[in-house]
Amino acid sequence: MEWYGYTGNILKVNLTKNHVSVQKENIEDLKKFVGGMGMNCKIAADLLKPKTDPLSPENIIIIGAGPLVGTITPGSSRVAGLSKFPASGAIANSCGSMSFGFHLKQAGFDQIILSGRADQPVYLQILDDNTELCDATELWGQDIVETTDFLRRKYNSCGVIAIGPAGENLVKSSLTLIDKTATFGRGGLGAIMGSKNLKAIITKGTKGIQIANPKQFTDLYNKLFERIRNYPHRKDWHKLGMLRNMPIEAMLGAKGAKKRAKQATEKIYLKKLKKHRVACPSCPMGDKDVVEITEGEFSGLINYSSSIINIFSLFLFLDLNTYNEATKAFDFLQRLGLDSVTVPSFVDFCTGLYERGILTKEATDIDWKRDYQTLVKVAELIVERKGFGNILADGWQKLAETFDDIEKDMLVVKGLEQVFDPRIVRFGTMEFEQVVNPKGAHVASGGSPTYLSPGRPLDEFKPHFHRMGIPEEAFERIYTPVQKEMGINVGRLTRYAEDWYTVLTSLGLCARAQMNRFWGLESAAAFYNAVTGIDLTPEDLRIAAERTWNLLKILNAREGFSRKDDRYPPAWFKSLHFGDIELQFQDSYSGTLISQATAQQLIDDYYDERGWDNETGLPTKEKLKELNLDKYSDSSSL
Amino acid sequence: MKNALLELKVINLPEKNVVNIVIHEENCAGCQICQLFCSFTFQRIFALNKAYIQIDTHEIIPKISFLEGCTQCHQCVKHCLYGALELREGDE
Repeated sequence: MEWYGYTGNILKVNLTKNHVSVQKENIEDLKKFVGGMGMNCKIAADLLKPKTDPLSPENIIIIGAGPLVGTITPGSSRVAGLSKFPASGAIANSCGSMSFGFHLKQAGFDQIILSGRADQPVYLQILDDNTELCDATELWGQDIVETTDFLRRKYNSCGVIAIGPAGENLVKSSLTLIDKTATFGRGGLGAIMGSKNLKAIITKGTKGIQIANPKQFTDLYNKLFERIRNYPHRKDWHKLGMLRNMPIEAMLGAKGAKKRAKQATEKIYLKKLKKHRVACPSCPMGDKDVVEITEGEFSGLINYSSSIINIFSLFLFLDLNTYNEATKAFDFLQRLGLDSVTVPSFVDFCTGLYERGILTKEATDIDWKRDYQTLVKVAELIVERKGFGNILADGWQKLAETFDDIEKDMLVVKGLEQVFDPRIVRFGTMEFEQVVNPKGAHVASGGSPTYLSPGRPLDEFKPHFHRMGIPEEAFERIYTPVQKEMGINVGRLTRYAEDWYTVLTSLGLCARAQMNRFWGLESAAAFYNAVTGIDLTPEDLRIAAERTWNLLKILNAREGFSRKDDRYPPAWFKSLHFGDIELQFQDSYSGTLISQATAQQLIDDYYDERGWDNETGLPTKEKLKELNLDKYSDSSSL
Repeated sequence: MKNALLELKVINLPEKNVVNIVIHEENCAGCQICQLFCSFTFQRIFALNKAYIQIDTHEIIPKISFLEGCTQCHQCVKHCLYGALELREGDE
């Protein structure tokens, strides 16, 4: 049969046997799970055995690019990766951008399934039908930038996923980078690749993607493109990238950290650091950054990142002296394959333990301070798994087991540290999502328009709710907050934020605000139909997303996760001393102080909106039947 | 589909006297929308190697070139939102 949008092929790579094969996709599966994240979950449900050790050969990595990837559909270069992650022990999806998914589709594959363990370091080469495992002995030990540069010199423009020494040494929080720029696999994908002796994957293709209905596609594309062209803030986005909607300077300044705020300004970004703007294939709203240090001891350093805000965000954790120190520190972590949230969080938390006398310099060989030197030393010890670094390399759970009575102070959910502290950024769906996300404290799938300025009319949410495909019958429930002044019910809305994220991630569309804003469930379905020739209604797409999220939850129920794990960090309910201000756990819209009772009610409401059992926090048999997931309902954990 | 374009050589665009394409590589973000639009317009497929405009994203500043066969339809210019391609009126 002719495939449109989809390639129809799954690449299966058994690293133990050094064997590569191609499996044809089933059209009925694609209709039910769409692609990308959805198909990742479907494949994992069929192939990944419960209770698998994340770093064993039995764990699998599934990388999927949705049906719109490889076309010119605006912002359609997203790739999803699923595995059982070592930081949390959860089965979870991660997402990344840049060119890997695009090239994978061009080479003729929608999905890759990696299993087993190679007996020596290898990298996977995917060049159309020329797919093979190649010797990577010389690359082992090199950092991610060196590895990527080597492979791009060899293959020229291509998509590269690579790990650094942190992944090789099985650091449980290590991640990978795509094209040395975009993070992929927070929570340990780097270590999973390392455990398989897989240093990198490169892909490049010439097959191209055909679409089913060129005329219909062209009409849709032209209309959307003109909307983007005429978007009044487009040039601001090109100029500032993510700094436009996340001004770190203002955030730090408002919270009393004025010295740090002066190092994270728009002016410093534009005048001192910014070298070039980079876009993913097909993206008219590019926001990836290339920055360069042009003065001082680190002069000449060039760093690629998924955003300048990742560099400036280091000032939220640490008392770094200058923007150059922040850039160098970020680059150092990134090259090693360490997470730029995890390691600064370790330094911040452990410095607190040191100040309380729980950690000592003698026992750790670290003079704990929230500064650049400490960050670098801790990072080196983690990567080399030396001394105290060996504990941190095994993550938050290992740290909690090592010292009595510290777990309650950790800003951690399911083994992953928070990305956003709601006491600093206030509490909306992204912050709540950190509590209920099967992966642990992760924010990407909780995006929604709940960040309206205080006092704005609540009706302003409605166009966004319609766009995200939230059924009207749910509006009243979403507009019934736990406490009246909070305006909306963040718990109930989060369910739809997750579903909308799943639609985008299964199709391969960008979820970042500046692209997400141009998409709605109806336009997503129209593009899908024009590209693939398969008629799915917007409601079909929404249900496929709900089905996918439920299947992801079942996969984690099989691992033993339940309501007991959807737990707020206790420290959120205490005040946070930041800069010269005390910050409290307050909601985003009204600033209402959130009590334990309110917080628990939000979890109840989230489960209720999902149709899940309130006691277990898991899908009910009835819900699984409704979603045609009956075959998975015999799991003993449900 | 036969991939004839791979055999084609890079050319300097002939000046049309009326409107010419001016390249600002320093503004190119490497989105390759121009390239994909070209391949779709002329070959009805999204494939980088089937476009008459080529964006090499290997270096920080991408390299932009045109291949023999380019008709100067200017669709690439119209689909560049980063200011890397510009139409400039030439001398009559």
